[in-house]
Amino acid sequence: MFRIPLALAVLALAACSPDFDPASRVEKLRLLAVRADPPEIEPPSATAAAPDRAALTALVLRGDLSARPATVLYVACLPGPDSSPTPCTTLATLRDPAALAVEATRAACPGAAVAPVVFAGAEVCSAGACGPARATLDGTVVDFPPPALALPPGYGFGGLPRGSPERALGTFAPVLAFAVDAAPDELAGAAPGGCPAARLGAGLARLWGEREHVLAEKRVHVRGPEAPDAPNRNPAVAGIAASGAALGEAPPSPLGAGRWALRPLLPPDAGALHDLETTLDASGAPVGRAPEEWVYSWFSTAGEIDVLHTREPEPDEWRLAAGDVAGGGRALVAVVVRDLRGGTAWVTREVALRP
Amino acid sequence: MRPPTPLLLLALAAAGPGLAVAQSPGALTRAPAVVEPAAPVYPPAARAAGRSAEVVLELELSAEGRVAAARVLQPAGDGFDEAALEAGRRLRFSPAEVDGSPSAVVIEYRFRFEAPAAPPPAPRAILRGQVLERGTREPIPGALVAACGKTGISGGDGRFALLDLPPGPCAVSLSDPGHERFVTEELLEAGKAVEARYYLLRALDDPYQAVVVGERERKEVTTVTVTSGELSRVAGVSGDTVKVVQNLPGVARAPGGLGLLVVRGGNPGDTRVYVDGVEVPTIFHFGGLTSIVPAEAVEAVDFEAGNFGVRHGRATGGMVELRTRDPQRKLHLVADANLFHAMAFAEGPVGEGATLSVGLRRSYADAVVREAARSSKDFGVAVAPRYYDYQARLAWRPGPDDALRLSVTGSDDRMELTGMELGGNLRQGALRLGNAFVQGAASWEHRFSDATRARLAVAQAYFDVSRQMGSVGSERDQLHITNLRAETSHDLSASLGLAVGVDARFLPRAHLRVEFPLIPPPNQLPSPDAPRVRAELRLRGTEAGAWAEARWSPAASLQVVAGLRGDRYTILGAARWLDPRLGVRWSPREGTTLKGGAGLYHQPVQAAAYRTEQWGNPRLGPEGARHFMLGLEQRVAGPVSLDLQLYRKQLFDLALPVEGPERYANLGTGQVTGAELLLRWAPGGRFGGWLSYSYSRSVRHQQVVGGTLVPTGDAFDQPHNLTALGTVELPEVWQGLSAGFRLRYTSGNPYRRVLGALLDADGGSYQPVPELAAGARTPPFFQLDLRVDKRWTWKTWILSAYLEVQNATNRKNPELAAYSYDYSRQGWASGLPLFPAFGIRAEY
Repeated sequence: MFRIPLALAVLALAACSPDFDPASRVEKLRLLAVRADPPEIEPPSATAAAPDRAALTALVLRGDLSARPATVLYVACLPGPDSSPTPCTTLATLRDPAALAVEATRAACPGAAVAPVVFAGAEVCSAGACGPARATLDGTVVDFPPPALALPPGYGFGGLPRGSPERALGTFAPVLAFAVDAAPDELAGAAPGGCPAARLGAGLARLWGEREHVLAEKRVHVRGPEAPDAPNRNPAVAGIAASGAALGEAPPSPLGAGRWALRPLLPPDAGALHDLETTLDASGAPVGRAPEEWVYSWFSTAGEIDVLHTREPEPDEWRLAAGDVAGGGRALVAVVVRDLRGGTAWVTREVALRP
Repeated sequence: MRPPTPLLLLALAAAGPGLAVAQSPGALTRAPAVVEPAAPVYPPAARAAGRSAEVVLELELSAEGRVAAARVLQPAGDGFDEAALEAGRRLRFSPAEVDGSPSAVVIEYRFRFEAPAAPPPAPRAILRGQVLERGTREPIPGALVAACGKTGISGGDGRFALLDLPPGPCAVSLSDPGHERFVTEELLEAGKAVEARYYLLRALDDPYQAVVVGERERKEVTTVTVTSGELSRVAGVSGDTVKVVQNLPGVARAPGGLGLLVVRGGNPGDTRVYVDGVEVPTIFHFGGLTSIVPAEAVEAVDFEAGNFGVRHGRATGGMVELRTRDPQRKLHLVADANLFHAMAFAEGPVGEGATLSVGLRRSYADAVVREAARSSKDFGVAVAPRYYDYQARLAWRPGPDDALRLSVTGSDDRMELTGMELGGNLRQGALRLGNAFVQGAASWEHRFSDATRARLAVAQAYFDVSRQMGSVGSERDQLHITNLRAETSHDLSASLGLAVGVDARFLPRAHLRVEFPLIPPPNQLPSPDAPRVRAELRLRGTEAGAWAEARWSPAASLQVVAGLRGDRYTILGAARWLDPRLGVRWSPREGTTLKGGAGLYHQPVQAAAYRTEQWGNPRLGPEGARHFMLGLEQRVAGPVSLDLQLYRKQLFDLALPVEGPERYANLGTGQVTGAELLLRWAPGGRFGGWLSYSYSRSVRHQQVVGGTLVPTGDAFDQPHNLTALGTVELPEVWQGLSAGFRLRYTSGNPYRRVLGALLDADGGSYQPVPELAAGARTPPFFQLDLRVDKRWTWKTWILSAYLEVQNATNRKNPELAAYSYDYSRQGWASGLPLFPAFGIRAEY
């Protein structure tokens, strides 16, 4: 019934594909992950186990490790409780995603009509860390709302009949993260007129095609009233070890040419964070229950990472050639851990390249 | 002394000399008696001539009994007289006595000459035996056998006998128009027969040329038939029967060498494949590596790109029919090995009028894959890809009007790779594919009269299919399928014939256990975390059709074929329809035929998932197509013929993914327009091959991204498709050597360019955002394949070997667009580079 004829062709042709740069190598503006905290939200009710709001943040890196800021603007779509399609996942709108940002930021202006897309805040990120987005507009310093997804009042699953799969499965609210190589001042200043959010959105649309940019989608799980498990928690990672030695935060650990076995360093309570996950089928019926699996994704701004994703307990390998370290300087290595249920965490470490 | 007394001679009739005594006065008291006989010398000439004679002599005997004088009384001539006189004079007698006293007498003496009996003739020799073809051991009837001035002709079984040959060394020569002359020498012995078998080498060295036996299906308007002789040495397909069809006009080139049959712009599932009238749901191992029926078992392949008659239905595309052959009447063994698999095959007689064949084929590339996978960090190999297939066939002709056939066919594919990340999420799982089926079939053909025939075929099959696609989903299908085909034809007159028939497919029991997410709706970004729909389906139902066809020839050069077909299905939905079809062939002159056809064709939606309640729309109706065709067949010269066709297909009621709870609706439409040219050089001589060119434009009027499981025909829209292939015999270079080539040029396939991409923050990979309509085309495809075959032919067996180089120019043909991890850069995933393949075959 379900044929996979071309899967074999794809497999067969994989050996004859061009040799592109690996995804683990960071050379330009990259948005590597988006985290929602908590990863699951729930409409308010007497029995709600999760809050109705999640803070959002992103991991943005540059290959040149410069401190030049990048702005990340968030747009969220709220599906109906029946998981109906939203503009955030419709291909027709994604062919011109900047227009979606314009629509969402305009709708955030006071008095504007309600739109199916919501402006969910903005932040500024550089060197692996993010902070509030602030711009000076017409002499006034404006703080843009911190990134967050909040369920609107009245949102819930009450209208669904008993037995609806969504009551157990919940639904997913897609959040689009627009990362662009520009500071908020530059974005908001590029499009005069309108409320600050609208100016921010318009400026992003104007510079979107001119500057390095990355678009990401984060699916935030909205729990149903009959969800079988406790609310999911984000995983945690405390550091990175290279060939057994933890890489320091400050000052950066020195590393020379060679092969370095990379492992994530987990906090003491990491084991407790491996929540039990109940797998549900499309009708909401449970089909299995097992501890969640954490997958680690590795990135670096120098050298070559062996594989993009690893699973415990296998390490990854970071190969620094003589040419990578010849000029000295710094490099950055990052690991993103995902629990494959929407939970995300990361850590970055700078290293001093030693010839 | 008294004078000799004349004595009367008494004639004596005894052999040998005769004696008579002449009586004179006085009384003979003692007759003379021979005391010293003398044999006359037989005159040589008379002896050689075999003449006999009697000579009467008068002898004067002295009183002592000596012959004093002799004279011939009764001559005989020829030297007999002289011989008799000479012998007479040597005779000595006892003295005769007259009155008691020795006396001279005169006697008559008779010499009788008897010719010696003819010596027994010297014994002759016999040469007899059989004339056979070298390698195949096929008897050669009508061969001229000449030995020692005598000639004979071999009979139907190749046997001959030459009698009355002189003993001793004898030059023997055998000749036949289709074989090389053979000369040898035999030592013949008198009175003995020499038994000999002579093996003649086929003159054009093509022992694989098919000999079609039995009744052939009436030719449809657009049928192209490829015989096994043509199939076996086409370059680039390693002897695969169905893949050869991909080189005919009307068939788009499939990417990556896969076995997809995209015929005249239709979807890959629109073309049916039959083996001896029974539809097979899967004709290829692993969806396209090699077909499940080895070339050894195939007599010919019929291909109809469109406008096929009412005998086949429930298909809107084309039709491929593999006709397997009856086992041979002599023992025939084959062992064959190539880069992919090894095969063993045996056939021969098993009693009066019955023949049996069995075959088995098994791949061994799994050993190679297993080793290669050891070094891969991307996946593991739990079961390396491997396949095998087997066939057995019994054919029995109890009489001249009946043919019964029983067959068993089976196939098994298996593969399991572990640690695969599929479906865009990071969850690992196995990629498992298992396809097994076994089918038993029985058919009976009966000729009631020259005008009336009937055929009945029944087949029972069991399928066991299992698939797992990583963490995305899995499926296990176990189906029992019964196929039935019955038809009868009757010629009402020399110009009018009728045929009716039914064909049906019963699903008495089918158990499907499926776990797959909902098919993403169209125009939406798919969700990698979509939960699975789990369903256990127990299906029962029928797909059946009945048809009637009239063949009318109002004139000798004109044939009109009109038919009506009705179909009904009750599996995953229900529908019925009527399809009228018309075909015309007109031959205004010898060697020229104009043809045309028009017809209506329907089929159930082929992607079964679209018809389910769980993943699709159970109220989805059938899809349809109208076929129109005009064409010309022209015999150009000798073995060269030309076939030109113009066609148009109107597609309607195509299953289209729609937004909303309905999921699929019969709202799709499209059309295909094209022209096809086939210039063919018939095999049987030094060269065989064809040039095929297709011009085709396949359009779907609705553009939808996503929502489908398989690509539609417009994804393979190749405006230009040119294939030239041929095989030439080179006995002057090396006996048994032949060389072949296949040259292909096709337009690239259309594809949707990626306009952008977004990172799936939860899965860590990027998802592309494609344009709505395919606005680009992959670069054209060009490939040259070369093949060399060498055959060594001994008396009773043949050894063949081939070396094939696919993509001899080592061109990197782009097959699919390939992208960097974030879709910011695009390149091409190309097909295989220069790729050698080889095979070796021993045949008895």
